Amino acid sequence: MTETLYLFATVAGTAIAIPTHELEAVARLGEIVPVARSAPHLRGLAALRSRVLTVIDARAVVTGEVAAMDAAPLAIIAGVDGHSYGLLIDEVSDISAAENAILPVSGRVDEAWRPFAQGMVQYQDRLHLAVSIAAMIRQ
Amino acid sequence: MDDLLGDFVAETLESLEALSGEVIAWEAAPDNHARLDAFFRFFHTVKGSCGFLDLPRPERLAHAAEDVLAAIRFGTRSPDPVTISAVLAIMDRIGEIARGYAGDLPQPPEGDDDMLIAALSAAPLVGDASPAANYCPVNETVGGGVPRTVRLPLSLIDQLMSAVSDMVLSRNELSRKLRDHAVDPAVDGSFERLSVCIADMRDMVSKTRMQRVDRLFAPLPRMVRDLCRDLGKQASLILEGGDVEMDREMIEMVVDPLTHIVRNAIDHGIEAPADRAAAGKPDVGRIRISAGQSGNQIVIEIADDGRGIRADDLVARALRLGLVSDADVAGLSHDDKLALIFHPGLSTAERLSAISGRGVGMDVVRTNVERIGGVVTLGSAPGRGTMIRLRVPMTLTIIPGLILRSGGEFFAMPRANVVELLHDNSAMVSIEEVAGARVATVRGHRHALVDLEELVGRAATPAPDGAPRTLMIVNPQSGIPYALGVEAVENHEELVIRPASPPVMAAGIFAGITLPDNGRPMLLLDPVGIAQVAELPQVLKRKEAPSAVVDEAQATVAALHFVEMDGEQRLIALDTIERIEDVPVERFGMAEGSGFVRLRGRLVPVANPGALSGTLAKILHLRVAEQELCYVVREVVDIIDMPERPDLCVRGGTVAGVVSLDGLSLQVLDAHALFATLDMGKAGTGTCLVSGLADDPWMRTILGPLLVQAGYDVRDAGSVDGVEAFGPAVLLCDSADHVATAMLPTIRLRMQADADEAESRSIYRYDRVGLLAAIEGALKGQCA
Repeated sequence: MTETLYLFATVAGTAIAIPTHELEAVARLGEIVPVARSAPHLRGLAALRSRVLTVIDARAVVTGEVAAMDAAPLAIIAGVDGHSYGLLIDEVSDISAAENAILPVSGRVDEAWRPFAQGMVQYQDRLHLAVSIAAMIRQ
Repeated sequence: MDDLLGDFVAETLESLEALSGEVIAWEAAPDNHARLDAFFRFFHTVKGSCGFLDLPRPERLAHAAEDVLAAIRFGTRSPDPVTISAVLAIMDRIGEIARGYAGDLPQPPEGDDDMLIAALSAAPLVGDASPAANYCPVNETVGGGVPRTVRLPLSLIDQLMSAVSDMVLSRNELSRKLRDHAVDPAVDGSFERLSVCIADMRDMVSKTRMQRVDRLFAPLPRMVRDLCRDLGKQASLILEGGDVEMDREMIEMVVDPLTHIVRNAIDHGIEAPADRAAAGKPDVGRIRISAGQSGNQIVIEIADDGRGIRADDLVARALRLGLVSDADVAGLSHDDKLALIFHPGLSTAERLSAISGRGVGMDVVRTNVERIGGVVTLGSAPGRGTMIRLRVPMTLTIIPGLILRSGGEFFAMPRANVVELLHDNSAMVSIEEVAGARVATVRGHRHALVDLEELVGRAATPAPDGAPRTLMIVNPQSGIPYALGVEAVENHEELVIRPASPPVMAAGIFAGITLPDNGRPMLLLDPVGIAQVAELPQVLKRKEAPSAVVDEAQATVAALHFVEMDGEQRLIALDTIERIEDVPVERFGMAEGSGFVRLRGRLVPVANPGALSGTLAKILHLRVAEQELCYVVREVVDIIDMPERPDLCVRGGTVAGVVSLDGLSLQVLDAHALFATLDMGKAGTGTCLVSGLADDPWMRTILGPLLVQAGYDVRDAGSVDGVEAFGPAVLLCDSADHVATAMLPTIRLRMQADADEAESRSIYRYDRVGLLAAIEGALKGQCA
């Protein structure tokens, strides 16, 4: 079995698929300590046991708007370039293999999503945008 | 490679490393049986293990060496240098073979083994017993057996460390929950025991990262000995501070730079014995390596007494190689010239030697040291030696830090960068604002002031009941100190620092993150970043400016640079100043043009009374011998060195001359003249007998106090029967009186300013100067 598993989630109303090898876990975060002088989508630092996560709000990356946060926001935990990040998302629906191979991006993807779009993935009769979270975090 | 072989390799290499430091000590004192036994045990163990593992090659070598050492133990052979060299060669070969098994290195050719064994037996029974190198261990500890060790991958220790951190956090969480729910005291007791165990465990795990610098030093004696032998030089090696501990990773990083520097010292620094003798130095050169802890840094100094480095040679070479241009060279100081040695592509030796000419230059040393956050500096005196100093952080991960509060948030600041903490209402601090720039003056030192809340974009939360804010005087390693205003400094802790992610670093004012025991992440402030982001002036101080040309022959004295109330900048010799104080304005007073200020219950004259504004006035309190006075200034700028002789001498007023500094012409205040202008004539000695003091109001209320103030004893002339009791005395009377006291000089005072004929010998009663001069003159006459 070499087929890629995807995490299907929603960010700012967009259905996305993230290859599971890019992420470590999905967790609800505790208190987030803000970081001064940083980009608006950098929400701050959160502790996950003894690790410190840099919390990036995926919704703000895409929409440019910083929305209010839940008390315990849902985040995808991922390691990029030796640092641990928490990527805030709206909700997670499933982890599963895609129903078919990754499709090329078709149609004109919104400019906000374009830098992270890797392709499209069919799942439960819906198209999901395949997204690289590493690209999202590095941008 | 199976496990047993792996263990053998690891153990053998470990023992070799531990023994290498002992080799030269043994050579220097061959009679030391403890050391001899240690070597014997090593070969014996290797022989045994090899027999067990069926490794004939190292077994044969170990066996041969063991035989020779056994002979030395029985006294049938002497441990002469040739024999020791041969034994060392065997040790090296065993090490090479072991590494070969581990797959690190290709196996050395087997045929050479015979040669090594032959060298062992060919060694003379009695040799010339002059060791080429002397090893003087300062903290001599004869290895009473090598402590048993195991090798662990570093990643395992890191995992262990992070697991222990998790455990500490869980403990804290549990502790909070136990506090919230009243629990059985027995549970509390168990929990306390658990807490102690966890704390111990954390300490131990932290220690697994630390190692003694000894480990860094261990290979050096052997290296020095071998190099000296190859080059026909003699050198003694002095090692100090081997018990200092630093992070094992840092040790790994420093090994190569240190090795390179020591090689250079022997190859290029220490001269051949004949040259040394010609230069009037002892034949045996000296290399001293010392390690010491300074804050959270380890300072390693490598000093030799060799030929030193000629700065001009470096310049000439750099020019020849086209590394620098003539224009670059002009204006370089001696230190700048020496620093050229760190330039990539420059090698000082005219010929490349097999020892240090391996393409690894001082530039690589510097790069390696700077990569780990260290600094290399070099000093050298031609003919006398070279000293290279490495400053490296003790550990990359644990630093002492201050926890501070600002804008309701907590931050950490490396303790090493904090010079001083003060409350902003302290008498030593004055804060001024000029055109938006805020300046905190602390004991005469002016610092740019920046509030942390401003940088982190938060409103300063007003402290309850007007508690003072804290000023942190921060000294970034490069750049100039500044004052950082924060709400409060809460705590002082050892912090485990982790690197911050790039988006956090992009803020420019953070150096890392840390997770304190409360489980709430905290940001570590970057002192240099703050200065840059706050756009604080980064210029060097005048005395540190690299281009400053100091004429060393010119004597200088420390002077205080200050700004007068009228804005004029002046200097005054520092020695005359007892203290600098801020005094509430209401303590100043004026009387007839003479100013005074109330200080600690005394009245002190003010040399330059004038209009004061604000609530506090800054004064220089001058005291020389028993005389004191105050000088009001607007601001104190700095303490600088001024030439003892002003560039332009001026006489007159209170200015002694003009000094030109930094393009400013600063007048030097003449302390002598300051004291001279004050009417502080030394307290007069003597008695004034005043006729009519008791009943003439003028005499009693006007003249009497003047005389008292001038320091004289004042008596009513009428109450005095004899004059002998007083010593020097003078009689003052109205010009109309005809008091005749032939025994005393008499001064007559007249009412009118113009004197008529009859009163020509009298003094006008308001002619203060004339009167005091007359009294002084009259009394002096009697003293003489």
